[in-house]
Amino acid sequence: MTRAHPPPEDRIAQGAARDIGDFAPILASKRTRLRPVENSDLPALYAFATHEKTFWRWRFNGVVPTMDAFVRNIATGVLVQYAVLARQVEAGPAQGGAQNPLVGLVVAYNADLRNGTTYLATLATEHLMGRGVIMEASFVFMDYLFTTWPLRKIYSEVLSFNYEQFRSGVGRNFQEQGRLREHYYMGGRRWDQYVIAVDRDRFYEDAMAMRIVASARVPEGG
Amino acid sequence: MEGGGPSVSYNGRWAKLVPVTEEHLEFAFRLVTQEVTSLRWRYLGALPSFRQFEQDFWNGVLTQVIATRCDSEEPLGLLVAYSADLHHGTAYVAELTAGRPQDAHIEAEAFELFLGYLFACWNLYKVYLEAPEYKDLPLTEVGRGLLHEEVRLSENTYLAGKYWDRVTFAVYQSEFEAYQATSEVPRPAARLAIEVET
Repeated sequence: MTRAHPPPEDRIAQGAARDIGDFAPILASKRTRLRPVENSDLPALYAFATHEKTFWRWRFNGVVPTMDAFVRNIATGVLVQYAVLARQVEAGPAQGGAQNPLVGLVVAYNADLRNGTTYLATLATEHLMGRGVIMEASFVFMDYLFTTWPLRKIYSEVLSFNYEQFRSGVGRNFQEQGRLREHYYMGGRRWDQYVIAVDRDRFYEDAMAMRIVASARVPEGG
Repeated sequence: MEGGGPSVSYNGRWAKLVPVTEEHLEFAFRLVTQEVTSLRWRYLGALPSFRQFEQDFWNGVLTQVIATRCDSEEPLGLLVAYSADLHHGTAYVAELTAGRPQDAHIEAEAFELFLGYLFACWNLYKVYLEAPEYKDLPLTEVGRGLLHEEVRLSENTYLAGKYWDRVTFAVYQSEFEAYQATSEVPRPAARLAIEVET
């Protein structure tokens, strides 16, 4: 079976890579592009992290930090992170209709290189949540992580009120590792927190993920 | 009631909990670096220098105590609550002992005393124990009924040529309190309730 995007070691074995640059991951998909976080991104990322509809989902757990504290802590415990730009979606009001607007952040944190694992988190502008753009960026980011570090698994923590949008991917895009029952207090009640894992081998066998990872190479309109 | 306020007992039938002193640090360091126990603790076989161990000792820790025998005050182990999240009412707990079979009942009692102490002093909804699957858990047979396996990170932790599952168990404050209320031996939280009533 020909894969849209084989793992890097297969590309090398096939002789497709003659230079280290030939198997470097492409940090883009059809609808997104990843680039390093720049200082000028920080106000927008702070706005995403503290938006009234999203602040309690992000790593500050509902505490709204000052801008100074946000900037100080944004790299704490982080293996690598990238700003997510949108290529083919309309910019929301917060982006002022800009071309390739900044729409989010993908972060690998709490890496355990001894055991080959890391955690992944995403942050997105509120108007794009649930539209698949950040999911595309996450697949591109995972290809980058699995290519660059000897990682075996990438974990994510998902609160139960967000889990429905992921449930169709159980067993296909990721494996459910368990659920911390009544772990998280919000809105007068306690919510479960799921832990999910993306296994490296299964990731490169996931046809949908590989189509997305390879989609930046598809010509416009193709 | 002496002092007129609530108090917490650190004494059980066989075990008691005491604060960590300078003298206990070397004992704890020996536990952390012994060939068997070092594989169960947070360094997972890596051997830190004493200086590094000392620097790490209180990092991220909510509270920690030494478990000793009641009769001789011989230290048996270290009990730690760490990564506390008081916003959501959770913390992780860990115990490290020499694991001598003849002391198992004392260590189990010490662990339950420690849970009672945590639930009495902090408004924790639940506590977690995180352990690779090869680690023995410190509770008594009855206490094991309090443990709920909630997450199993499959093939997470490398040791001796293979990857082992890493399991997170939870103990709920409400179930622990009910367990204590039916226990024959007064435990810290039960005693706290009795003393507040008088």
